[in-house]
Amino acid sequence: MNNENPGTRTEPHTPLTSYQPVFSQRRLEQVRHFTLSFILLFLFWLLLSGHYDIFHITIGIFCCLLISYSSSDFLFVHIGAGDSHLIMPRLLTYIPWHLYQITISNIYLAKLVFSPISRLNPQIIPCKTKLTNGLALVTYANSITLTPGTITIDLNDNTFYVHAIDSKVADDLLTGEMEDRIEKVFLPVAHARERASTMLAAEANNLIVKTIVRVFTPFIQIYGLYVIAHGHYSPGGGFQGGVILAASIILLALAFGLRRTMSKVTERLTTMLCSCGVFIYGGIGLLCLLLGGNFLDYEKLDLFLKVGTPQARSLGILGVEIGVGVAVMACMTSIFFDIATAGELPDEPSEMTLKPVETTQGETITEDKVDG
Amino acid sequence: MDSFFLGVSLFLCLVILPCLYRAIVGPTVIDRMVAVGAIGTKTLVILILIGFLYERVAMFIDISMVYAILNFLGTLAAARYFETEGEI
Repeated sequence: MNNENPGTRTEPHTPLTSYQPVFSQRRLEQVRHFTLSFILLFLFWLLLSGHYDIFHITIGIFCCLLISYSSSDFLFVHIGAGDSHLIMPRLLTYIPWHLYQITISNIYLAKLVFSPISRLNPQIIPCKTKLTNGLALVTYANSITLTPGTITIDLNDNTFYVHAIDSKVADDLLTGEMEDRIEKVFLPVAHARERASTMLAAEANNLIVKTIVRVFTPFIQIYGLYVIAHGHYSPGGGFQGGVILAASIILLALAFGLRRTMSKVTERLTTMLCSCGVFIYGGIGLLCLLLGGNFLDYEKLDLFLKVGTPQARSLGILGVEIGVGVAVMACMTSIFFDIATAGELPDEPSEMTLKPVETTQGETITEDKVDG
Repeated sequence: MDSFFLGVSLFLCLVILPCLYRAIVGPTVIDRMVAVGAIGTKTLVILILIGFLYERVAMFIDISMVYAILNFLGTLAAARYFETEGEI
């Protein structure tokens, strides 16, 4: 199916219904997001792994499919897959320029610090921007912060509040060269409004934190799975990988609010995964017991795996690590939910809308007002 | 090259000391948070330098990535906690 390849079509917004009634525009977009996420995550996996035999590649493909299925829309809320293959190469040309800017400001600041006469003139300047796309705004804000001498404090209604340590760096910022360059990078969508399609879209508050968390979560999850799968070569294993996976969910809860995270990662799901993990661990142990060995006596698994004793041991350990990882992730998430809600966890999902579990950030306050 | 890495690590350890002072004495909570964040960033670099010293960079990069994730998570959690006065 030629839809699988994101590069085959260049115009993302032409209606397709007359050619392919099976795939609606939205469905097609989802497939492309999934494919592109998979490619990105798999490249990241290959970068981490360092073991390029068929066994590890297969595990990698499986993990990347899992994560791209669960969070394919995380990476493409602000820019569609069709635009992203235009933007990514441009971003790569922006980075060297930005590194050059960082070097220049670094030298300037070093001179400033070591000069005998203090010429520091710290100030907070408002800096209006014409960008509206979320990812472009976040890129701009982070570029300002990464450049020595200037720090983005707040982003409010298309105005950045920037702390500058000196008049010169403030003037450099206000010339707007950096903004123009970022505008060019994000040209097709730089002035577009949010692509409000998913549960995570259209965030007015904490745009920077939310965007960063959203973009990093799939990669953190892949890293957690890598730590589980490579537990017998590098530091890590089931416990550590499970904690990293749980950390990604806790990050989501911190950035997007507990309630929205718990509507996806429900108490039912964490309890189920917890039991599944213990079941995998105990199941492998009992299997060894049934095959005539001791509990977790991996050599006996060779009786039906038929791959040789060392391989059977390795596979057995991997299975146990997966079980431990799943159980630890689910338990950690569950503990976090329990602590964060102070134990007042509603049993029914419908109660969630009644109880003001989370009273932050406009998004929930309106609902609570309606209810009481 | 080893002595260079060792020197840089020791220098970074010294640079951590002022941050540590701010983290312990710091009059407000925000001061302490920023100080702990700065210490975390330096620890990250020191971890990788230790990796070079022991010639096991691949292993120490794994550790430092986890450290980076947890550092980010900790700062975010603390910021969220103080922004919303005790609720997450």
